[in-house]
This record gives sequence, C-alpha cells and structure tokens, in this order.
Amino acid sequence: MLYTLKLLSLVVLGTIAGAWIKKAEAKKEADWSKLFFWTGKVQTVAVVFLIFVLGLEIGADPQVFESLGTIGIAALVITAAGMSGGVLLMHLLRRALKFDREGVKTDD
Amino acid sequence: MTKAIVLAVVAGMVLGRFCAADVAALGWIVENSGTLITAGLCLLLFFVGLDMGKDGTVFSDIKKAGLWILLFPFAGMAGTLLFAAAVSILLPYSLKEVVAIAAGFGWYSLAPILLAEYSPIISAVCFLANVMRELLAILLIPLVAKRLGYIESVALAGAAAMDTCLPITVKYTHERIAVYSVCSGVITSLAVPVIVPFLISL
Repeated sequence: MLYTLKLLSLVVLGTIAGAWIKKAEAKKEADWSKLFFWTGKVQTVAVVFLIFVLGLEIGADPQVFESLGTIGIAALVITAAGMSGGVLLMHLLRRALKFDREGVKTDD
Repeated sequence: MTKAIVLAVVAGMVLGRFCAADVAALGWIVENSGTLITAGLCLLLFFVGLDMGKDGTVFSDIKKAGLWILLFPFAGMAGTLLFAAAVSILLPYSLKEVVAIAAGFGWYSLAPILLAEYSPIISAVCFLANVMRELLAILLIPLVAKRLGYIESVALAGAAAMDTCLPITVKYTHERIAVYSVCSGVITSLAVPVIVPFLISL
C-alpha cells in the first residue's frame, strides 16, 4: 500500500512538472521541448531493463525455473482465461457506455 | 519494442539460469533486483506523469469520461474471475483455488504471499500465473489496442496497469488512456489483498 502510494506520488510529481513546463512554453520563456527530446529513449531503455531483470529473477531461482514446465501449463490456462474474460467484459462495457475505440466518449 | 521485450525476458531467463552464479555483475542484479525494479519504475512513472502534464488534458479527460471511468476496472475483474472459474473444471485444482489464483490480477509479488500459508503449490501456481499475466499483457497490449480498442488493452494488465504496463499502454495508445490505466490499476490493486484471502477462506 505504501509502495503503491510512493509510485503514484511520482506520477503526480511528473504531472505537476509537465504542467509547469507546458506553462513556461506557452509564455515562451524557454523552448523546453528541445531539452526533453531524450525522455522517450530513456523510457524504452528502462522498460527493456526492467523486463530483463524480471527474466533474470525467474532464471536464477532454480525452484521457479524447474517448475515452469509442470505447473506452468495450469498457470497459463488460468491466466489466458482470466485475461480473455477481463478484456471481453471491458469491451462490452465500453460499447454499452458508448466510448469509441480510442477511449473517447461519443455523445449521440 | 515488442521484439526487444521478448529478447530481454528470454536473455534474462537464460543468463539467470546459466550465468548468474558465475558472473558477479548478474549475481549483483539478482540480489538487488527489488531495488533496481523500484528505481526503474520510479524513473518511468515520473516520465509518464511528465508526458501527462505536458499533454495537459488529464483533468478535462476525466471530466469528460465522468465517473464511468471507475466502472471499467470492475468489469475487468469480474471478467477475469468468471472466465477463471469456467476453466477450473479443466484443472486439478478446486474452483476457489483457481479463482483465488486469478484474483492476483498480475500482482505476482503479493498474491502468492497471500496464498503461501494455504498451500505452497497453489502459491507457486499463483506466482507463475501472475508473472505470465504481466508478461503476456506487455506483449498483447499493442495488439489489443490496435485490434479491439484502447480501453480494452488496460484490462490485460490488471493491477500492473498503473506501474509496469503503464508506459507500454501509453506508448501504444494515447496519453489520455493513462488516466484509465492508473484508475484501473489502483482499484484493481486495492482489491487484490481483499479478494484473494476472502476467496481462499471460503
């Protein structure tokens, strides 16, 4: 819970910083977009690194790695079913609430 | 991006299996993986916020979407539990065990701990199922976003919609979807420590 709050507070901090940059740009105090061209690349590298560490964790734990085959299939069946169900119900709700494919509410 | 992610996971698993014990740098990463993952997430989430702030339409998007936005995670959770219940007849575990495993909603560091006392095997299945959920979500988000819709791609991630999967969702949809993703992830995450112990106690 505390961990969740910590992570969320970073999103909020980022949002405040982003809004502040937008304001500064609007006032033409500085061309901030030139200063932040690298954020996309940093994000990509960070995602790939995080996934690599997750893989490393699974591989380095012999118990987890060896169990991948035996209980892995059961786990996969549960996960595949659960994800399909979640997507399906979310899809039905989106159509019932009249949101378009890009998540914009369409008023009729 | 997807190719890089698949490569990263496979490379990580192979290196972890065969080299982590011998290569000091890899051993260090495994030992400190918790800290590294937290640090990486913090960096990513700050940038996600930065993009949202620069986009500047977050609050008007919530206003426009209205309170409906809060219904989506409940649809996602209900769908997951229903379909997991349906496949339990195929598996050597009881209905409540299968549904409790699915109720981890991808939070593989918490859900298996909640089930550890009940049964080590169920806990292990729970760990694998929820690791798979996060990995599959990362792989399928671009596909579902393109073929079905942006909001549906949020359902894949479950609890991870607000952290690990958030940058990927935003990358393949729109900054606007970050609001759905965070709301969905927060509500789903809050549900995990409530639903999992409840289901297994039945």
